[in-house]
Amino acid sequence: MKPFEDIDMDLLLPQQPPFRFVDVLDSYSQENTVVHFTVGTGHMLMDGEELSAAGLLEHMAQACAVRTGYYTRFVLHLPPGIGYIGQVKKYSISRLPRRGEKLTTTVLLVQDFFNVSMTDVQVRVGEELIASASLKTAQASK
Amino acid sequence: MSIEEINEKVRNFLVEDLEIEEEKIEGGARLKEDLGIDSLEVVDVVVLVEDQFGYKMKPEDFKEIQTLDQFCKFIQDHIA
Repeated sequence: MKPFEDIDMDLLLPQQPPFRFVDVLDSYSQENTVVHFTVGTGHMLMDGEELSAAGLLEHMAQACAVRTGYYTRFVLHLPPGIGYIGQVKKYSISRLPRRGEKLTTTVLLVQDFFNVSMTDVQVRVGEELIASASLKTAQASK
Repeated sequence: MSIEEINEKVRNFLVEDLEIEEEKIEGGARLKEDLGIDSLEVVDVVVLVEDQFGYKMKPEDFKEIQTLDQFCKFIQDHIA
């Protein structure tokens, strides 16, 4: 199996730049997935030199989508489907990330049931926890 | 665990976590139609049952559960 960081993000995420907010899959397991994103120039949802709160949430949702996309494509060997954010709870931001900062985001699985995943997502810059949320994402029925 | 203890835990969960109005919560209430528990909230229910009662529910379990009474009885029948 290819190292995670070599996987083309087009295989895991339907979103395209400038609306793509994940660069690299760092590691994957059912329970714990880690992705990276560097806040760069030209991304949408920027607010001056910072990624906006909406952009940060979109990054978290795309981190969840990468987890699901990897599972669907590389574990089930199926083409990834369309996913939706079902619910956001406990969205907490201590500060917004600035242009040039590299985000390391961990998606911790709380529960998978039917086509709904409940996850806790934590965003760090280095060791600093800058945001967290509990997200439910749903896969559209095929 | 008695059925009364299960009822109490489930009631607290429905009110505090799912924010369902207390007056709607009675034994004959249907989970979906009367309490409004949709497919997203079913995941919360599954987490509750696993955390509080130690049983991991399966999708097929919900085929036999329509009402709150049936749900609490199901938990009682499936916990050690």
